[in-house]
Amino acid sequence: MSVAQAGMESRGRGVLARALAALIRPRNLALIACVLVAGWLVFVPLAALFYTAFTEDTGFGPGPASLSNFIQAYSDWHIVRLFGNSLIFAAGTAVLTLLMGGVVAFVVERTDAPLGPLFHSLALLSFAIPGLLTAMAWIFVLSPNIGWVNALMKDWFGLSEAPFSIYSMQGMIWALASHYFPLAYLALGPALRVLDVRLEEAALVSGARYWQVMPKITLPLLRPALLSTALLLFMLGMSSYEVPRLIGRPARIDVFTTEIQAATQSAPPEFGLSSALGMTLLLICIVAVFFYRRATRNAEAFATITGKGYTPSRIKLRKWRWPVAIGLLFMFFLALGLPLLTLVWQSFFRNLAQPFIGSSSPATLENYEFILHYPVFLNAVKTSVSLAAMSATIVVGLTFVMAWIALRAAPKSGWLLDSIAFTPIAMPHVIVGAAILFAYLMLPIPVYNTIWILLIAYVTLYLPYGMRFISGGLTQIHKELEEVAEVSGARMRQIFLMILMPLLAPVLLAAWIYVFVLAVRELGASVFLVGPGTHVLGTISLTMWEEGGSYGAVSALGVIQIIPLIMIVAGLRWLELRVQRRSEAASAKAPAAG
Amino acid sequence: MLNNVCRLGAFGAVALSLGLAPAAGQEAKRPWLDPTLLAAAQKEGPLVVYSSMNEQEGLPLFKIFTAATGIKVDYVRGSDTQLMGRTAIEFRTKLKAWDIIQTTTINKMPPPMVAQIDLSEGKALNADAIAPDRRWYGMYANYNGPAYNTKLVKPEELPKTYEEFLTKKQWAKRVAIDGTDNEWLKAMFVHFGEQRATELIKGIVATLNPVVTDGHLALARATGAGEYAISLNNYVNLSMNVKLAGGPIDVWAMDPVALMFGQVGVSALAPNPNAAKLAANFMISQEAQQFIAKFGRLPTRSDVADNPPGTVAMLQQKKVIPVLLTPEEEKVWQRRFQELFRPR
Repeated sequence: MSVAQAGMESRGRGVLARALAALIRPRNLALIACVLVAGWLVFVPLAALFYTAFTEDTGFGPGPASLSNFIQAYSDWHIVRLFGNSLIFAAGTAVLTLLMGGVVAFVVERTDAPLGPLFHSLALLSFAIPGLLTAMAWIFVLSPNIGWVNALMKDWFGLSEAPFSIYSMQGMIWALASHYFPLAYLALGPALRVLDVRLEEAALVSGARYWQVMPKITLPLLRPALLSTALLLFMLGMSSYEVPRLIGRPARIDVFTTEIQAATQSAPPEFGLSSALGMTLLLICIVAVFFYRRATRNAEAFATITGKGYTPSRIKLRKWRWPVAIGLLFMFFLALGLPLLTLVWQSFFRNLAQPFIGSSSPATLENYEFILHYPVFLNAVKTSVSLAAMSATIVVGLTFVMAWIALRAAPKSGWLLDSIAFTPIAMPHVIVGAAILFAYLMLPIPVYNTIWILLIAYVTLYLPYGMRFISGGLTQIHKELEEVAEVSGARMRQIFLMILMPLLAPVLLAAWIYVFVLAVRELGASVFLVGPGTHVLGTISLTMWEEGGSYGAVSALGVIQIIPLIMIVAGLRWLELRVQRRSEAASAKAPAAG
Repeated sequence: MLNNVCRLGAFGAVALSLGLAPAAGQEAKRPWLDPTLLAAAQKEGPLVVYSSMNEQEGLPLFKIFTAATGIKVDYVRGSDTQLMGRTAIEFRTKLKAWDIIQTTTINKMPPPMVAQIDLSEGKALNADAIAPDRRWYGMYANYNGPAYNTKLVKPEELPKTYEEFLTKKQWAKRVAIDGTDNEWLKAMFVHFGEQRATELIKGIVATLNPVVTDGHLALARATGAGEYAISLNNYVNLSMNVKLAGGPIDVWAMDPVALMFGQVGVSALAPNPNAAKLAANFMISQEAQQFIAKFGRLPTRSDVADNPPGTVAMLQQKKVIPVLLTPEEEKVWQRRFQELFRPR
């Protein structure tokens, strides 16, 4: 060996050693741990999805390798109709939801219209109602046969036909959008809150009108948050099940999820077929993330929180303050008030009762008594609330780190991490539940029949929500803030705790609330994973729906679920306001100091 | 130390007498309580029950069992298909997860998963309510039949045969059927024959354009609420459940009446096989069937009265066809159902 070769080898070893040393720094180890945990969480159901899709479905589970599930799933022209219906439904829902949520977010966060805190609380209340009950309530409101709004309209205007029918594509889109628009508000609100209005003011001073500023400055600045929310809403529309089941099926509007669910609910369940169908959702999800990343690749262009300080201020509506607030109130009445009123009303009657039309039987509290004395109800509330709190905390923590890695530490390959975290949204919850049960029965990890197996499932299922909320928010924070801190000697822990966390607090809190609410009512995966003593609210709702509960009992269960959520959400709102005031005070001090 | 041992001994004697004496005393009243099986069962762990019956019925039912035997019960509730999926996964990993299962689909489970058992109470069951291979026993009868909303349809308007539906154009789009009623469809084909049944159902679909729904209780509730005037077919006990709750719904019978069963079976890998057999015997006993009849479930024993009274007699005046589909048959009939009711 020559001296030169030996020197090169020694230099090579030195580089390797330095790389290894860098890798095992606590900061990097923590980051790697987060990625590994998230990767594992997603890998388990994903592996099961592929395995069951590409193997023969036997009575005991997957058999030899086969394409039979794909042949069964995709050899019929019916699939084209499913695809078309799913796209229209998901795109329609995303557009309407984005519009409704965007309007609320803009009015609450960027204008001086009154009643902002009320709208915020109402928005949170809206998605506290389980999806199955929202769909049921909309049938009671807008069914041509039993919908009370239709009955009133026919009575008032002497119509022979019902003016509205929930059993249509428009009805499906409306029912889902009314349920999801608070999500759009929650996701867009923080982005609007931290938007640097000086860019708008500069345009206005230069002679632009507000209607010009909006499409040319405000909306482009919001592009990451808008696209992020639209992507989430689109995928939620693609994977939503309750509205297609209750409203779409009777209207003969089948979508992917109804077909997937039908396969998992056949006897015996056809997990192979449902996994093969789920592959389409997965593909759509990956393509959507790819385009989202392309559309937001110049992350700095969207950063409105920079080292130069920012002072969010509100648009003065003057004489339009109250009309705008009343308009928004009317929208809330239509989207939230009608189904909620119907549910509350129905909860006092055993059989169908139409508000303002009367009922043949007297109002009673027996539905509430029934639910409160239901044998496992209180245990289920306790388990669901603690699981939801744990899941929300873990999801927010994990995705905070993952979003940072995807956007800052490894921006080039970040789309991969983003896709990994987003994949569970395309997997039917029942598949995730079945996969997790199977995996953890095989592995020597003793979580079977404990709440920990449910926690693993919930964290897996809700990673996409945390990722979308937080990566949208993080894009708006310019990396120069972190660079300055690093140059000034700050450690990574300090950058996270003292710079990113305070600035992202509204987004983190919004993500936490949303994951918490979703986890409280999770059903699809839970049905496989609950054991003796680990009942959850979702499985009790299902029991009420399919095994012996009356309309009244089902509605009472929904109302009872909403009450503790209102209290928790009110507490979190108080916390959020405190955080907001502190960050406003800090930003007010910053320019003064500068 | 000696004191503690004495205390434990005394406690054991009291527990034993509390546990066994009532059982011995009640043997005459409780023929299902086989003393030999009970003694063996009491040496085992808590009984794990998988059931599609809601907790409101299931937990008090097993409270009776626990009071009679001293055996603790862990109750896991899930829908029929969820339990099928779950048990299949557990069986694949050879996990001894559950002792007995109560669903309507044990006949569709792979046979190696369910043990063949002989139950002394089986002698009192109707002959159809026992699996030929003794892998399940019928705990309640699941008769299939149409139902109507009593506010929207008068009893005299009801068709007496399925053919008469072809003349009821006024009910178009107000008639519904669950999308998984494969047993009913098979009974129609058995009764009318291949060609006539196909023509008849195609005619009904063309005339009434039935809405295909998801969930039998949801359909019963919707018919009771007036969303649909008629359930072309539904589980009679669920229509009765809505009727017992005061809903304006009633059932009537036409030829044929498809019959299935709410079944009970014992796991081939039961961790507590004696307790499982004892519990299965209890579930088909007169005591258990009398208890669940209060909720409108129709008995499979002739010594238990139905609720509302006369329901079983009304149904049995018609041609009752027991239908038990294997998983393969289920797929065939589901496809046929789709072709007839939801042509693609």
